[in-house]
Amino acid sequence: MRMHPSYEMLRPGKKFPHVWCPGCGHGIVQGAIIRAVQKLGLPRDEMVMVSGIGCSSRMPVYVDFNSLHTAHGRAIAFATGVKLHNPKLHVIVITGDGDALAIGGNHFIHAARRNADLTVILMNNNIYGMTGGQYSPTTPIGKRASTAPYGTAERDFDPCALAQAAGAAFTARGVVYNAVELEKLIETALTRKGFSLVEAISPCPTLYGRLNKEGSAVKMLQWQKANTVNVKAAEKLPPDQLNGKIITGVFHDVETIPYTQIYNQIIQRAQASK
Amino acid sequence: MAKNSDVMEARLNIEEDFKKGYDLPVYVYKPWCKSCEICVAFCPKQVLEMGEDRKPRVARPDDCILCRQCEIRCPDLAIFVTREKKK
Amino acid sequence: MSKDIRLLQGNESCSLGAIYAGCNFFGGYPITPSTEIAEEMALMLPREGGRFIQMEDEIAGIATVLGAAAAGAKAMTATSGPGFSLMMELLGYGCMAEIPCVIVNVQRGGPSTGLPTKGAQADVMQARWGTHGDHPTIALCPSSVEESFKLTVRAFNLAEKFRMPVILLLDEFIGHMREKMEIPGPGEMEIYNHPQPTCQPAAYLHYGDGSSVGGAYASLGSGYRFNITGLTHDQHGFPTGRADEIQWKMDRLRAKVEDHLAELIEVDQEFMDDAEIAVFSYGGAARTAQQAVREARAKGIKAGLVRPITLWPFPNQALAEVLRKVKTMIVAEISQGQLLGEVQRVNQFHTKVVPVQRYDGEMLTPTEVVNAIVEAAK
Repeated sequence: MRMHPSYEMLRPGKKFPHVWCPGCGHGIVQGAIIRAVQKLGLPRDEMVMVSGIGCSSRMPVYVDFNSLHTAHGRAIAFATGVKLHNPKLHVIVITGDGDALAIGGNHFIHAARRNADLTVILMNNNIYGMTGGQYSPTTPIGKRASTAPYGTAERDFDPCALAQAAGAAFTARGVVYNAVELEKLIETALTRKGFSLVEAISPCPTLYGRLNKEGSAVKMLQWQKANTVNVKAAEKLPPDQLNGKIITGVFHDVETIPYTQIYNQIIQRAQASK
Repeated sequence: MAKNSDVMEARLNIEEDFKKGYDLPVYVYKPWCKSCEICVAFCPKQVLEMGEDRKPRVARPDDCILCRQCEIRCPDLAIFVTREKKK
Repeated sequence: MSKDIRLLQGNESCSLGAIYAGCNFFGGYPITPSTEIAEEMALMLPREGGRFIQMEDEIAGIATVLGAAAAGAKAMTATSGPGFSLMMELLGYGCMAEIPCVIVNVQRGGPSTGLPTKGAQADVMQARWGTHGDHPTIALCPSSVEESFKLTVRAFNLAEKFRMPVILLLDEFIGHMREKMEIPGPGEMEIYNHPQPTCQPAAYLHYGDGSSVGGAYASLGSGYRFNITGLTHDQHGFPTGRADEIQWKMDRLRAKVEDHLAELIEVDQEFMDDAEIAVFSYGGAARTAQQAVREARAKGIKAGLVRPITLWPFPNQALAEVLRKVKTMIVAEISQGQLLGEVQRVNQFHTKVVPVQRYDGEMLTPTEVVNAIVEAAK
């Protein structure tokens, strides 16, 4: 009989079920990451999963990799240090919309500018879940949150566009409803050198769903199914048909020389001048 | 079965069920299931339905096409397909 | 073998000390009056096969240091007041996750932007209590260019052994002054590397080895897979809410310093055998105090110098022994009294404690201290 193939990648000794709420999309992203890593055959001893603080960032402890659960907003900066010290390691950053784009925004754009060779998986649920439902940099304007009882007054920004503008080598977006496409995007990102971002739209039924009356986990996934357009299809549609839709797929994918490779050249230059 | 268990314990419990002759195409490890109903809602063949214990039940096993949509969409890795697809 | 004697700036000798200690990673951010350390490390590290990175702010700077150290680097950062304030949260993270690193604070006039190019010693309490929560602190304080080198080496050794951040409190006076010093030859100073685990990976507990203060511990990517978190955790490194495990962790952190005071505490004393008046001073101010004590001795006054090299843990016992012996203790600081309170706390005797302070941006002068000594001798 076939056993669940992901079980071999779960952290021995760690108690399950995990901490995320029933129907939270983050568990689906975790599954996609595990399958992508298995498909690529990346050795676990070289995998380092670095996270910040928030619902997203509780993932690393559950996976049988090297894991570093850092401080709020600082995962990308910690990860830069891990990777620069030992470029052989495959460093994945697990972060959320608040963690990466609010308190961590400065590190997010500079790591992209620097083209630090990190695979950043930004699980976007449009809210601060862990602290009880406050609005985040990606909460659409007018939506409700515990700190926006009358609807938010702020516009949100697009993390993929932000990363690309800052210099990222690879940006893509997937939704957890389409876990197959999400897995493929993560797999591709893991093979790319330089700063590669995958934004995973991962619904939060407990807080965002309830505060905005968008229903249960099932309803929020059904909404994703009906409102997702792949980037290639979107190019053929008039803009007005795209508002309110989630565009998925690969947005930016360029060959680059990653930061640590450039720094190795600096080491050679310095040692030649000794 | 204890509600909280590590993956070793989970595998032992599942393998025990297999040894007792469990042979449905889909297996639900109930201690990890949080009754979010995603698997039931998105099974393309409506193989699953929620049982009285509010955990998914394999109601129509013969309709299962082993597509693994339940397995890859379960946030808690609590459901999976037990058979390899015939090539 | 000819001696390697050089005229060096304090910041420069600190960087050389780091390289000598085996430092192979620096992450930081420019800030006067510490930037020469970053510039030196940017120059020297790549030559040694090490790595330097200037990040987007001090928080990112120390974050890369902690990340690199968790992956096995001997890592450091250097900053001054405003940057040191930004680093507080992650200083606490380094304590909780038990990650070795060195944080150099070249103190300048504060608070706020303050006096970027002028020296002060007013961050000493911040070094102890700047980050939130109960936590251990090790802070060393050099009074010369040579000591800046040697204490940097010691800071790395202590960080490795005690498996925590170690703070090196320079001030702008020491950081920017130049003095002659002899560079120790290879092997002359002990370099400590923490023990690596030898057990099977499946049996490895990242915080499970109690055989020594830090125990044997692995680095990320070394074949042992484990979890590091800032959440209070158990021996695995898994977050815990259980009272017994929280107590275990908090006691483990406190015991690191509390059970090793003799090894950690270093106090330099001069002319103290028959001293009736002691001058308690440290860092840059101690050079003034040293001169003042010598001038007082020349006047026939029995004065002596007590100079803590370890500021945290505070040398309670050594200080008590001095206080019991002398009539007056002058506490000479370039601040409004950072360790004055600690001296008063330890002073359970009838010793008079007299603060001599300067906080106008200028160096405390020997005359000011000599006047206090003469006054006390009346």
